[in-house]
Amino acid sequence: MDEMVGRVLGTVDATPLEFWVGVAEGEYLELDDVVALERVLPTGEVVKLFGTVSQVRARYEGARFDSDVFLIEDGVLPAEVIEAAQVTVTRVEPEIFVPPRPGHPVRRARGDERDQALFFDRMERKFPVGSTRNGEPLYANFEFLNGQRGAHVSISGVSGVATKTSYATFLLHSLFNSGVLGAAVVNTKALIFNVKGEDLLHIDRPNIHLDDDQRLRYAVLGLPARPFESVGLYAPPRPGSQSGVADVSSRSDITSFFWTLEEFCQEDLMLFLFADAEDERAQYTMVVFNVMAQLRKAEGVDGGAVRIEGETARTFRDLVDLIIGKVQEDDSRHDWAGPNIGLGTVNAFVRRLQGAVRHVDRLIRGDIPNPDRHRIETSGHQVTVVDLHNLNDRAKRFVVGVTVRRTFDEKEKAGQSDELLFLVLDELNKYAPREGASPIKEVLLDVAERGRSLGIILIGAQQTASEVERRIIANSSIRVVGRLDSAEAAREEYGFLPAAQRKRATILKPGTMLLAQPELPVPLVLEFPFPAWATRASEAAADLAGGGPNDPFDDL
Amino acid sequence: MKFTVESWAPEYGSPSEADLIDSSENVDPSVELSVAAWRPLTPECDPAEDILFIDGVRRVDANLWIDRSEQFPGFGLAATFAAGAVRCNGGAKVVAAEVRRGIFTGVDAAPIETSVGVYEVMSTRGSTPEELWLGIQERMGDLEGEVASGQDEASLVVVDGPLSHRRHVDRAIGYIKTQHVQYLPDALRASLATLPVGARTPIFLTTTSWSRFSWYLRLSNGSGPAGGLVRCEVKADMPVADASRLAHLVTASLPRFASARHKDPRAPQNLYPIGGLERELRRRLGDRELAIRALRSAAVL
Repeated sequence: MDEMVGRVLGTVDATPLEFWVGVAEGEYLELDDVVALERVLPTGEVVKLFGTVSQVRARYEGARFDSDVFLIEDGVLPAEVIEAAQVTVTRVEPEIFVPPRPGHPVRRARGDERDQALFFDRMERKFPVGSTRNGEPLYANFEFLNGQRGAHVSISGVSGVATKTSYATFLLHSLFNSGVLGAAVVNTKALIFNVKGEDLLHIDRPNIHLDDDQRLRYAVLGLPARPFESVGLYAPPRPGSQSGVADVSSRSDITSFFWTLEEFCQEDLMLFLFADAEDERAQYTMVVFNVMAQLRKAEGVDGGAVRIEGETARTFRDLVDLIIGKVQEDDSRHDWAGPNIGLGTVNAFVRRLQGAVRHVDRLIRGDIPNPDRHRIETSGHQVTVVDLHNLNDRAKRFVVGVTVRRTFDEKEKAGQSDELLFLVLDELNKYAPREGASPIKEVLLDVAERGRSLGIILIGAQQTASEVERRIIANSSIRVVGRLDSAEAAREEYGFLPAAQRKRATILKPGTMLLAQPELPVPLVLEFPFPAWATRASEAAADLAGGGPNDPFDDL
Repeated sequence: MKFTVESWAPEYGSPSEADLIDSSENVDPSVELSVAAWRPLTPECDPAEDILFIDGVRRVDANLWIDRSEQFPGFGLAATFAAGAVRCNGGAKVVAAEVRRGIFTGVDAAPIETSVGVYEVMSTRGSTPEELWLGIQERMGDLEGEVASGQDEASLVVVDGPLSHRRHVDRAIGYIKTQHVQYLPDALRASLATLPVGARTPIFLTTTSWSRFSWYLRLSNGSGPAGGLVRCEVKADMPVADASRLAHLVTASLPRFASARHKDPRAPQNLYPIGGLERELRRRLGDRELAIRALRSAAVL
């Protein structure tokens, strides 16, 4: 009992799950402090209770009116200040759920005791997820991430201040470098979709703003302060570019990605062009399926172009014109649009398809030689970044839908769940909204519900978990919350946060997160270090070959 | 009909009784100023910076019947009382609080050990209710004296209530909230009604069972005949000039501590530090139900 900070109060009920501690003179407790106490039962058995401080309060004892505070401060009315801390019990060892008795001394838990309080001692495979405010490492149980006992991470928070993407990349860094993956690290991959600016296109370069303090924070967590080492970068081709050069301004060594018309026709990719919520309700979905059936018959020509019923299409616009001709002409409409389809429905389909051309014609094409080099491959690098940031929503959905579907299919075929693939996707509410159905939502639901057994782990992020498909959130074992909007924080999706933490979520500063994991009844409040990799061009140390800005004459 | 509502809550009585006992024949009002020169005096000094307030509380826990061989059982009271001190020197702090438990009786008795503590025998002259009450009062006064003497010196020591039982507290000021006795002759008594806030009357000497210097002081405006008026007293064992200086100091110091009507049922006479101390002492007396239960189970054993 060398470090007694207070005693259990008797004026508030003490229960085995929650109790209040009067803080002793000259001591203090702050939110998230870890405490421990012992109770000896009449049988002689010793029960240890561990908990974290979930609320602290201070008040005047002896004051009865609000205005008494002025009298007390004037030295007229005698009163004493008392601080009390609410402790939420995290662990009872052995599991005899007795309340602590009023008056029991409470001490700060340190070292092994702290690990015990936070279940770190029970985690056989743990990886660092951040540190406390005073620099002690915090861990999560890998078994709840790798599919063994659970999988998936859901990160929520307001854009800009919640640092969701940074935290997702930090988690990847920790997973790849903490040693928790063991030998499997070689075959473990990550696929990240970059939705904001060119932020994630520099994660393979050291961050010049990383100072020694931050390096030390990495060291405390047992992680190297270095950028990602094996990174494959993909970006869409620049619009109008004949050579298909990547549409990125801050560096030039990026592979552009697109799908060939052949793939589009033979792999039913058209489905993902009609992936809006409004598409699902529309009549023309019938037409989409009929057209896809016809497209499957297309023959591939050199360089990804297709020949359909004698006509060759080399660009997406060619293909669309061809399809429009087929569904509108009386001779072919029966086969292409389907029997008994009204002209109104056909025209709705045509309008929709026409509308898509402008946004996706650079992503689906047959006019560039060696299209295989422009295929998104996750196998070549540890981390694959696919840039979406300058695509419009419809094109984003198409890329995400197709890429995730393909990855999922490959995993399903390989059937090896021990080789994990982490799929990092921000703006999940766009791809898997709570309302309605869409092909992309189906794919993501597949990932959420079956990915666990296939080794696909979703690290999803969204501003508002309340707008994301319930089953995806429900399947996430690890839930992370950054700064939340106060209306959002009140929603039931954040029921895992105790009341005080919900309030706190509305004032979290960038770099601080709340992380809930199944074993711990209280979410951990953690800080994570500043990225050791560049998160924008200006942070990148200019030391990589080919890392310079794009050559504007490249295309000529 | 024109009337005034007394500021004290009715359960505390009234700070001034309708019929005061006339005791003016034992009073010499001319020790400080001649009767002709009587006027309100405003203090000429700064308030004291270090004031000690002493007070006590008492509570009868149970009535006891003490068995006696071949006689009708003797009557006694089991009481808990406490005394404490608040020091006001920048901050107000309860610096002492002592609790005692006793059996007050005029018959032979032995201490009672209970689960809340030992009730020591505290003999009284007789066993009538008045004698028993007086016994408690005296013991509490003694305890107050004990508490006061245990404290570091202060520039002013104010004891709540008359000095009669606490005369051994050196240079203490008795602070009397209620007026039962008329000390001043009628001619001077009228001047009380017009005493301004923060002013006092000249000192008068009372020689009943013991001699003391007294003065009236108006803490604040209050309703009723006693409106904010209190009487202070010191032992008459000092020169009048000293008493006069002390009276000025008290008058300069106390109005600041006068309580507001919504905060104290005996406002403004019950001073904030004393009100706070009383609450704290009552808390320390412990739960009465628990005390009764402890006494009952001790009686059965």
